[in-house]
Amino acid sequence: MKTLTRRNWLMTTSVAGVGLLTAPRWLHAGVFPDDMVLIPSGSFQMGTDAEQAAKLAAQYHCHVSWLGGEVPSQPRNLAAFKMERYPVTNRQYARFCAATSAPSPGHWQGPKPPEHLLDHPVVYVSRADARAYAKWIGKRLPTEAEWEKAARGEDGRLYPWGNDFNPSACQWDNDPSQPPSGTAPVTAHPLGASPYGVQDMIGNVAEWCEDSPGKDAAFTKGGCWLTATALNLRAAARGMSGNDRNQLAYIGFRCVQEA
Amino acid sequence: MNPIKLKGQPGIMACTATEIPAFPGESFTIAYPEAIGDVAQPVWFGTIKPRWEERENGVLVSTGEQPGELSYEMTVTPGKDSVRADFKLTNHGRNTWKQGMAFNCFQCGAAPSIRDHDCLRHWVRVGGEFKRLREIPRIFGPRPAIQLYSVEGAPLGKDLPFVADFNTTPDVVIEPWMAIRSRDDKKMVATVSKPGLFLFQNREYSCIHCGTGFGEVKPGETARATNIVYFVEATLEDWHRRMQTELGLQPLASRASASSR
Repeated sequence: MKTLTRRNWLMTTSVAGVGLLTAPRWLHAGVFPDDMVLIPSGSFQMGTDAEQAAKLAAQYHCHVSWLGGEVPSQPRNLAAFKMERYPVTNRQYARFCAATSAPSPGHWQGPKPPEHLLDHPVVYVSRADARAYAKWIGKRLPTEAEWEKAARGEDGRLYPWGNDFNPSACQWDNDPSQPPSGTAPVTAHPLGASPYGVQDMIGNVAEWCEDSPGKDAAFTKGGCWLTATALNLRAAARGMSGNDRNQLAYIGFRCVQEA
Repeated sequence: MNPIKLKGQPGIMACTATEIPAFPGESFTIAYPEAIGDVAQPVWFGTIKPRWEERENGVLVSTGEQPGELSYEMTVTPGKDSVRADFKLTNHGRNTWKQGMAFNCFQCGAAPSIRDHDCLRHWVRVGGEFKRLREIPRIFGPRPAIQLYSVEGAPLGKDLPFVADFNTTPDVVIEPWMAIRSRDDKKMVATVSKPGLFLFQNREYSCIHCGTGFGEVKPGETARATNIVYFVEATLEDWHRRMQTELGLQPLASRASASSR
């Protein structure tokens, strides 16, 4: 495991799992979702306008100030970039840990992820952990604006798949009679694809962004498996953004790079 | 029915509550105090290394001190459906504290039937009416997951130096308790302090805090206050009546000189 270098890791991933030479079998078997999706340059409407926020607050029985962070809506013009189609998985993060001796997430209870979680998104990683991984593979974390554009495209939709919430399109806390069921494989909800084909942006894990609402905090986007209301699963929602040192069971990440 | 089982965590301020009749198989962390002392300059838990001592009938006593500043003793008494924390806080400094406080974290994130990061099942009472927390204004601040609320009978949150930066909700004053109903709406947990100083809530951990106020504490003086956490199978209304009766019948805030400790 220690012999897996960045160079041979890049070689293996560049051919989508063929020709893996040095890594143990569990690192590269099964799903291998490393591909990148092009998000074209151009403007999009970020956030939520006041009228829509008032409607959402009434629909979901909350004070409109709970949406305060995303109001008002404003146009943002972004250069083209590429975003990973799926969140970083335990399998992918294990390669990073093996190659760099970075500490493994606490829930692995050792250097190897539990077998049944290999293709689930990695969790219990701080933003610094996520940045280190991104740097290691020559990428970076998305800004909040990049994340939101990749999720909702240019037509102002509320969710990646449209304006109506689809309970089957993401991993969320959808059954009040049962405890939340935890993360799911990153490929489990293909109905959740964004207009550009980015997957699993809503639910499953909230995702670290590069920018921050304040000192020691970071934007996290997308809601997670613990989110129990569609209001907080919208692409514009930002209320759960928190302390960037936290390593939590519901926060993961994905990477971007310049186009 | 046996009392709730408490276990102190050596070297840190937290004790764990398990074997709770209303919440079989679930655990909660009572992380008291995360900070304590003068509200203008309290001492954080990382500085104080509290000691835990087990007494009869499952009672725990936690003690801690910061030489030249303060010492405290917290007696944690388990009941069948509640845990009571009685604080004695002594000012060993040279200056009078305008307001003594304990920052009490009641952590529900390990209890699947209760944890509620969206605050869909969080309840408070404002102006004599029960309200879901989501109906109360919230400020999007530098740490959006946290929020502070002012409580009845206490200074406004924005005037409390230690907590003033925690996104204080303006223009709303709440009774000094916060509750979370269970997913099946049959049970609830709640934290209440007397005297209560503020409410605080963190969506990252699904924890709720009812800060304990000690009022003015002069050098050498020991002040007392109490917090109770409830784990009950009850309606909000029934629990509220019970809580008011319990706290009303037995005044909990009193003070004594340091020599009487």
